[in-house]
Amino acid sequence: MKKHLQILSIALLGAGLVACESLKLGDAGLSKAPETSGATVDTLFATIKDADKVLTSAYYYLPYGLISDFDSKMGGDFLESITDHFISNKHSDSDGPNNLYYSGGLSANLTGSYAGGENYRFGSEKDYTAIRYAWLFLENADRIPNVDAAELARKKGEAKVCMAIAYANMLRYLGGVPILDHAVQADEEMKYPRATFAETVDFIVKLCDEAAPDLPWTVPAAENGRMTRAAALGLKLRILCFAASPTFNSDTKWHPQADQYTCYGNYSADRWAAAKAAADEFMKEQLSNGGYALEQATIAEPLKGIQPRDYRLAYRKGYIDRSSSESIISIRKTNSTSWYDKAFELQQSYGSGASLNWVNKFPWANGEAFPEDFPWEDKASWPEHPFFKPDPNGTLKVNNNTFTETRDPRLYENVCVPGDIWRDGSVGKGYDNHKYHQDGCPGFLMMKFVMQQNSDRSLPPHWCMMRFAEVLLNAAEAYNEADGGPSDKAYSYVNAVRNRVGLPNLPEGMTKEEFRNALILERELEFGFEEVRWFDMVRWGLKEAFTTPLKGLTSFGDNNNAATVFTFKEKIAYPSRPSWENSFDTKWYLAPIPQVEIQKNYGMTQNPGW
Amino acid sequence: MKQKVVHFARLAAVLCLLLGMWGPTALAQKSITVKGSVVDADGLPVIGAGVTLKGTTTGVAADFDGTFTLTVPGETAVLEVSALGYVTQEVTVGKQRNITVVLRDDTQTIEATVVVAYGTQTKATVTGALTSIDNKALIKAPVADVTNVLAGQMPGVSTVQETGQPGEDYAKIYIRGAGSLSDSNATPLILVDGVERPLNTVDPNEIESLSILKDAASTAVFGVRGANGVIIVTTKRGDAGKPKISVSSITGVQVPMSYITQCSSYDFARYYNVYQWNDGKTDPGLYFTPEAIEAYRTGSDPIMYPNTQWHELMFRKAFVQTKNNINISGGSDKVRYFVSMGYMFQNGLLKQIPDVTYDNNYSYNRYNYRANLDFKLTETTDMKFNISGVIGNTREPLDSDRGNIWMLTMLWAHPTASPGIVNGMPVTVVSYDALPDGLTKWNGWEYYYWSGYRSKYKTTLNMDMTITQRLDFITQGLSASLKGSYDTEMAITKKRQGSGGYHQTIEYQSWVDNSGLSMSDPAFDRTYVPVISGSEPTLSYSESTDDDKSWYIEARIDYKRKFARKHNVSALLLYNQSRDYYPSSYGWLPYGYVGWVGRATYSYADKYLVDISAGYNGSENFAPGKTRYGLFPSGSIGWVVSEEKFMKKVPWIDFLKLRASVGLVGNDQGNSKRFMYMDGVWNEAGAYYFGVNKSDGVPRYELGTPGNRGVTWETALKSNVGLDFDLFNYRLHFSGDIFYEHRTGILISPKSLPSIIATSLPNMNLGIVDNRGYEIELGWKDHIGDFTYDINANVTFARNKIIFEDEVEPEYEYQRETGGSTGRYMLYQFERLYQKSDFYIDDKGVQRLNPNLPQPSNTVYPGDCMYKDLSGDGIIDGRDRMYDGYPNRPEYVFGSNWKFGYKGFNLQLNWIAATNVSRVWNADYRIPFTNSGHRGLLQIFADNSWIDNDNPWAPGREDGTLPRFTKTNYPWNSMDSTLWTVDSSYLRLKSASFGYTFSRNKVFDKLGISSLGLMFTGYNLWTLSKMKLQDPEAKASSSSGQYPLVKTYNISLNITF
Repeated sequence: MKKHLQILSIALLGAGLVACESLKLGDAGLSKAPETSGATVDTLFATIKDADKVLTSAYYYLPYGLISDFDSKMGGDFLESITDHFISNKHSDSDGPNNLYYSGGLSANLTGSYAGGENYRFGSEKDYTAIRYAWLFLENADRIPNVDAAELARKKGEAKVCMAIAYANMLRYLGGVPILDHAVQADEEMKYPRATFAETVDFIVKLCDEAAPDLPWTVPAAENGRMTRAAALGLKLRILCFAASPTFNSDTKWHPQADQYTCYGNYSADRWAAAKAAADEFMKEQLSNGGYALEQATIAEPLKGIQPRDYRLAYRKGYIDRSSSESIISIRKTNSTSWYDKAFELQQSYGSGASLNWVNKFPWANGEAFPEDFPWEDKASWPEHPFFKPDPNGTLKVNNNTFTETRDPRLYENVCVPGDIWRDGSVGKGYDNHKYHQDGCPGFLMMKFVMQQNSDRSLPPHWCMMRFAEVLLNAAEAYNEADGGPSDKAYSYVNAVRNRVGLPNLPEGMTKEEFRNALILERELEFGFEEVRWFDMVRWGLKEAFTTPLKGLTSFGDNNNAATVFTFKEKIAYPSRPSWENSFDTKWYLAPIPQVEIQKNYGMTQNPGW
Repeated sequence: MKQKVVHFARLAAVLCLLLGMWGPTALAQKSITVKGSVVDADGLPVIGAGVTLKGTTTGVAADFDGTFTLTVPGETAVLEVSALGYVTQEVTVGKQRNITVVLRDDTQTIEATVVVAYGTQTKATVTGALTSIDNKALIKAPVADVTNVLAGQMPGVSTVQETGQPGEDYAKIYIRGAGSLSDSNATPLILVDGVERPLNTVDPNEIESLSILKDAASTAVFGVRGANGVIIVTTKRGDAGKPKISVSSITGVQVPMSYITQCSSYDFARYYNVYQWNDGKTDPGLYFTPEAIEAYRTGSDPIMYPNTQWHELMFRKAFVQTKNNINISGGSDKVRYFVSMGYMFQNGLLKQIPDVTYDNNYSYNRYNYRANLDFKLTETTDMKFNISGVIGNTREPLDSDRGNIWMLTMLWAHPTASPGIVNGMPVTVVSYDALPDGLTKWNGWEYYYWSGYRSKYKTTLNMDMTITQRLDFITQGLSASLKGSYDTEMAITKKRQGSGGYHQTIEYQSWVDNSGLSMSDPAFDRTYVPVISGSEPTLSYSESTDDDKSWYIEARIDYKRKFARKHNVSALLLYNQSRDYYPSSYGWLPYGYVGWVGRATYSYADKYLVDISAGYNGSENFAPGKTRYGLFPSGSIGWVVSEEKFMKKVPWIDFLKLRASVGLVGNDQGNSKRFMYMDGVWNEAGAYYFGVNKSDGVPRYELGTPGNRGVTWETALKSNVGLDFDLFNYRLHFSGDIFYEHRTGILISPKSLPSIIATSLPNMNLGIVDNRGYEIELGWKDHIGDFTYDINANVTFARNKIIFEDEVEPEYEYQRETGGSTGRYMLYQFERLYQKSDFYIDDKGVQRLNPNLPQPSNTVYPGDCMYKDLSGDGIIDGRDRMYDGYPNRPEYVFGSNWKFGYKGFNLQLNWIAATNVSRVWNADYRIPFTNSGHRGLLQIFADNSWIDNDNPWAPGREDGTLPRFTKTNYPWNSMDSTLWTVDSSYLRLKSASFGYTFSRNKVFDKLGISSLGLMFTGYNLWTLSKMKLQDPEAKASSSSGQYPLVKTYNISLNITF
């Protein structure tokens, strides 16, 4: 017996060795699922303040145009790089513009590293996530007890505008899309037929109309960035102009396979009339409530009067400052200014840049058109220096205060031209003999979002999705198209945008077509890198913008680090866009739907030509 | 060992003599004196082997050197030779007067015991499919990690070693291929001394046996963890007797193999110009000047126009490794011990950069220790106590933000970028003025020079203890035991991140002066001017720690008894439970398993064998209730045909057995998510920033993935049929198995749901995969006089087939993944390169592709890839890709081991081959000047790219086999296609050794040495493969490159006292 006790004690010792922790045998030995540390629908929708945390997720997933980790659209590039404004020379296998657009490699069957380089990848972008959170908010909002009805209606309105923005984004890239009228549950029957182009437009308009009355026209600074009535009505106007444009609103199909999902299939003047009504609606509110205005130049040095640089700063404030009176729809996913650095990195490392084609469109500071055949190599014949007034010695001083811009001030805010300072106060690195010059840079770097000085980027960032200037130009367009020519009102809106940067009024007596072209040009000058040009190319069917060979400017400075005197020579920009230049097809207007989504057979269809 | 052998051999000899007494007495014949020697399969003398005349008591014991002399009555006399640990052998004297008898190690025979799940069995009675490996093979191989020895040694196992980095060079193991949808979900369970532990914590010198359990009969007892096969490692234990000391030491050099090679500066410069010309660039500043090209060709200015092969500059040609072990074993009746200590060092291949003050090389230091103790506590109580540990230090250089040094050196660096080291300081770049505009100057050490290093110290301490109480007083053959283990691991990583460092650029005086002079100007001053930049280098310090701890307990009752001499019965009932602390997800919640194991075996007269076993266990991954616990039964039967009476008449058949098994096994690791049943909740996921100024923002909440209450284990139904036989006095050995596995309920996230629902869905038991194949092992061993040989070969074939994976219905049948094996690729079918004759010039002067040809989505030019229009729609786009190729784990693995021995000399060759395996090169390897367009040029492109005859820079090569140099069209040329899919089959001499063992002599006796062996060993010596770019086993899928595999040459010394 003694022996057995001995064994037992040893056995217990052994067990003790392994089980210093309390030993639970059997099922109790398996770990329990951890307690949920999060919130339930009930706890979240107990107060409007908590419910707002669901709504902010809808905001968070809205489209974002800056290059960021939030959105790898174009493989981390600007949408502008597939327009005639900008050439991407990034060349990595995740880069969209080169791999998919210039080379023609885009298809509905992309996989691997090339997938994601599209301008819009249906099913992968976050619009439906924004829509899902908007619906989760809307479906549960009525559970909130003791809530102020007006406040609740306002929040619901915000959710609807978020949803409208997401659908509007998809409409512009894809045409009609499936419309979800609830937050999908995992166990439901997954059939979601594609809505037609008309239905999608109507749905967006309906959302805006429903939301508008419950939303304030403007918000106080602390709520800046929340959706407003102006956002709802501005979005409605933008979408109605887009839908009424000839690519979609025409008796001629924009592509042989264009169907009800990708256009109206006929022309109706009512669509421009609807756009005009939306413009009226916005402007009526603006007239009675005020609140939105173009940022105007302030005179820095009273003795000198207003200087080109003052216009430049006013324009900059319009797109960069959250508090700008121009901001109609603004997305802010972060407070970190480092997101602006991505724009800089894009060219610092890869030599992308703006095309001479675009740069040439910026008129002289007095409004006179800049000649396309400017004699770059013949200094003697220049009426004026093409970028800056040099000092008597012929040099451009690298100093803000002595720069005198000779062109439309907006050129300098969009493009870093030879001689301008860039990013940290040093001379822009775009010229050919700069030691960091990159092979392929067309000679002009991107200035927007990069800016001249480090201190220029100290403000918290936002993606200004819609500015008041666009509302003005959209309204002018709707009036011109609906009225058969420019009215005084239409003129006044465009002239407001031009005058703000010191340009004179448009000449009077323009025809509808002349005025339309002037508007398209004005939008090119005003909205560089703001995701406007691509959609203008699409909706107006501007084929030549796709097929024109792009040019650059070779510039040699007198120093490979901080040049102040330059010689210029026009060049063919590289890379070229062979697939568009040689055999353009209108299929490029809309993005392909990944074939796998169609094969899932829930109701999505392929876009024309893909 | 030898001491003991002598002891028992003598005993055996005496026994034989006694047994022989009642045999027929030899007839009077003319007596003959026979001399002879007794050796083992390696040709080493078997000292003290008993040699007796069959049927008599006459006999002698073999001498020191295994020799004997015996007088026998006549030529018909039969000698019986025996020794412990060897199979007794009979030899007819005949005309021989000098006889060599080769004794076979009995671990090779059917009577040997093999380790099975929770026990041991004799080979003869095994009914499941399992293989075990000889520990000698483990010790001899000059590798750090046991996983690298398994290749080719045993059927059913395939390994892939992807890197040779010291301390990280373990191989991935697959048992019978992959039975699940992803390879990562097909990794086997590894048990060391019955406890789940990583294989790399064991020194091969400590291993007694290693078993691979393959079919359901062998693994069902592991329940939810057994589906991918199980590897069981058992460590050595002491035998009673005087202390026996073994010392082994292997020292050698490692030589890197199969570098990815880059071209020379001359080729780089010429082809860079062709590349610019191909893309229509006209700016002369973008080209290398003809003078520069000439300077690269002649090497006239090696400072400004260098030709640097970075791997020669940065890597050593050879570097050392050493592996040492000493172990002592012995004991008494009461206590036995095995104590082992090991030390290993592997150096890395980098050269020291002169300027850098810290050691910038890789290295691995490892100390192993182990004490395995056995106590006889009472007459009926045994205790085993094991304590073991590893102290490892892995050191590696850091690289700053840009990937790693392999990528830079092998792929990115330019031969033109730097002349290397000038005046003791690395030159980072030659002057910008010497190279074309916009050519980024990559040099091999760019991101590694003064970047610092990381040193990881890892200590593991493992303990286990088993107490077994024989309960014969209750009923004969009953015993109970209790086992517990406690393992801990602690790691500290010290990181010294470097920054700063001085760099120099070499300029010409005239460039520094900004003189604007052209280089052809006679006034141009070519004096070198070093321009030094940078700052004082510094190393920062940071450290991080990582802990792990786990325990395991097991309680079991065994019953084993033989009734009426013919009925063998055994039974086992076992409960076990384990807990692993600090898992990677929900780190504060330990990971646990509980389970029951039951097994019963019955055999009749060692002829008819039945084995029934079952595992019942649960996993916390599944909801409490019916989906948490699973019962995994299996059964197997065996028929030892050679034990039948009618077979006894066939003398050349020594052993013949048929086996069959079927059973269920589970896998709970699918998608490796814990608590898969748990419902998603709303959690804070950051904020959204309203307001004008920087603010905290409004928090935003997101809804997690919904749970799946019904989620449960994957189930594998496995069946196996096997045949084993030994013929011709065990000279010929054969073992073959055919297996089939049907795995259902594989955990996947549904694929076919619309992505517009914008919500993630839980894992569901949806996937189904079939896996089938066979294994054959065939060996022949014999001797010709003193020359012994043993040759065996094995083959393993495993192919799986996806039956269901919720695949989206493909547009074309050839795009269906279901129905084929896992791990294949979606590929364009490369036809040829476009030639100039495929194009015409249209009226606008644009070169266009002949309209009769299918039109690619991209604009193509001569020298670009032509792919097949599979869909037949006249357009070549993503619709023309198909599932193709073999997976990147081989379907066939062959191994062959050749052993030869002659009087103490032995030669051993281990061959391994694999086929039905594809690698698709990473995109970086497919693009001339790589995907940024500004990096290195691989030699394969310099040798094979299509070059236009009309180009002004280099001789044309319009019969080139790889696409032209182009930046605009590389996306098209580098797409996943059959052009870049390489058959990475290979034949490799995995290891070879040649050695001599000194037999015991007087000098040794004085020193107490019982044996001394000296051996030369090589590893990864020779490889034959179609894969020319790199080693066929190395990873082709990594853009960051890999530490190359190494071959090693070693000398080793083994001494036993």
